[in-house]
Amino acid sequence: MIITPDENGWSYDDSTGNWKLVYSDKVIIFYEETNVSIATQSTLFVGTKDECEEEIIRVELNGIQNTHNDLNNT
Amino acid sequence: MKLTDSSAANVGLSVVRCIASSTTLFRHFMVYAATTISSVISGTVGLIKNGTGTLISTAVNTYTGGTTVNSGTLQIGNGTNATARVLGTTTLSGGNLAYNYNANNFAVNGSITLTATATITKLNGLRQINLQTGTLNGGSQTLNIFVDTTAGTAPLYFNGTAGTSLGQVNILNGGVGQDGTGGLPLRNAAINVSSGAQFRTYTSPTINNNITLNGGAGPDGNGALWNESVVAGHTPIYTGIITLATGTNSSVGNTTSAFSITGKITGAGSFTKVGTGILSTFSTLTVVNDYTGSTTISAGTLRVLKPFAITTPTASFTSTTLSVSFSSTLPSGTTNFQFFQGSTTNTYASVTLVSVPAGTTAVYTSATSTLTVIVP
Repeated sequence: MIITPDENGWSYDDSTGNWKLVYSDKVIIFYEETNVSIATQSTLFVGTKDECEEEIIRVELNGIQNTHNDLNNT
Repeated sequence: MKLTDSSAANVGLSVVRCIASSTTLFRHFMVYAATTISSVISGTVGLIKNGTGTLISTAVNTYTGGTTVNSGTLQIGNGTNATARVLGTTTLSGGNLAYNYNANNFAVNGSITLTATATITKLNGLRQINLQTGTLNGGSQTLNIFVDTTAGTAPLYFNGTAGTSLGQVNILNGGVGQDGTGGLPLRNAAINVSSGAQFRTYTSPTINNNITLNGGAGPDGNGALWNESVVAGHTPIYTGIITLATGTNSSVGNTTSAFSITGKITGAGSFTKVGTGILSTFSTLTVVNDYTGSTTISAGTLRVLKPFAITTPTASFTSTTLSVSFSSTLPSGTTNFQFFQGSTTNTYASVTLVSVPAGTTAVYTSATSTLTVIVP
């Protein structure tokens, strides 16, 4: 799911065991399964790997390819 | 958002370890705790690393926008990778770079530019890596090099293209090498080899660096300076000034291939020849070795050649007595040991012999700097 930004435009997630996808326009900034707390003023999507990949396809993102699935070759 | 200290930032009341943002040209990461990106970063958008934490990239990245490390460390590989990489130029402008491969990697080919003092770390002592084809632009900066020796003594070689020179290279730990087949990107810089660390060569490079040795025989015992090649004819030539730090004893080693020092050996430290090969030192008319510590030949041969254009060189040993210790059994009969091609001012009417058969005698001839040992 897309994390709703706070009143200052920051999206934040400190969950563990999830995939975290940060993107801006069509470019993936960060895509990783991580327990590191992450914040961004771009779009932050947090979910399972399948959910993140669906989001990547839905928004037609590029710029990072998951090493196992070769998403969105550019 | 506010920065709290060097280890975190706050967004509202939340503590954040990684802040990700972007422009049209760069991904920006403000990292306060080790953060891994295992996916392949592609496209034309580059990467900027800020924050004191380590950003670890473990993929064979293909992005072409360049990489800048302003703070903390960008680490390539996490110890399980063999081919992780970043393409193009990595600019170290206050940050550091680390490599952690789980295979020998002889073709790491990204370029590196320093705009501030930086540290390059090689982790995993079991694996050698060569920074092979990229350009190192030192910008007269200081480069600290730390080669982890926890698991082994595999070195880090700098074999890429030589750009602008570094001002200073500090080898803090482990072995750092130059291969004569590369562009000698560490050339010209003053090199300081910490106690127990090592500067080493392969093939026949001309090493023009002024080098300070601070003692020890390197992490593998082969020498603080070491010609690791075993190919006959692979002879490094050291043309700079080698300084032996006061109160230290530094080893220089080689085996089947030779080793030449044509620059001056100076300083108040001592020097030990290790390894079975021949180490030659020779001087010009105006530059003569003047180090004041002791000289020990624990293996191989130390050949002190006469200065160029001097037909009858003369040396003056600092020791007022001559004591020679033998680590191998001398044959019966007469054996001559010539210390160098010339005479000495010292005459040594008596010679002390250690570890020789009973009844062995010796005579020192100062005119030829020759010790004649007679074993009954």
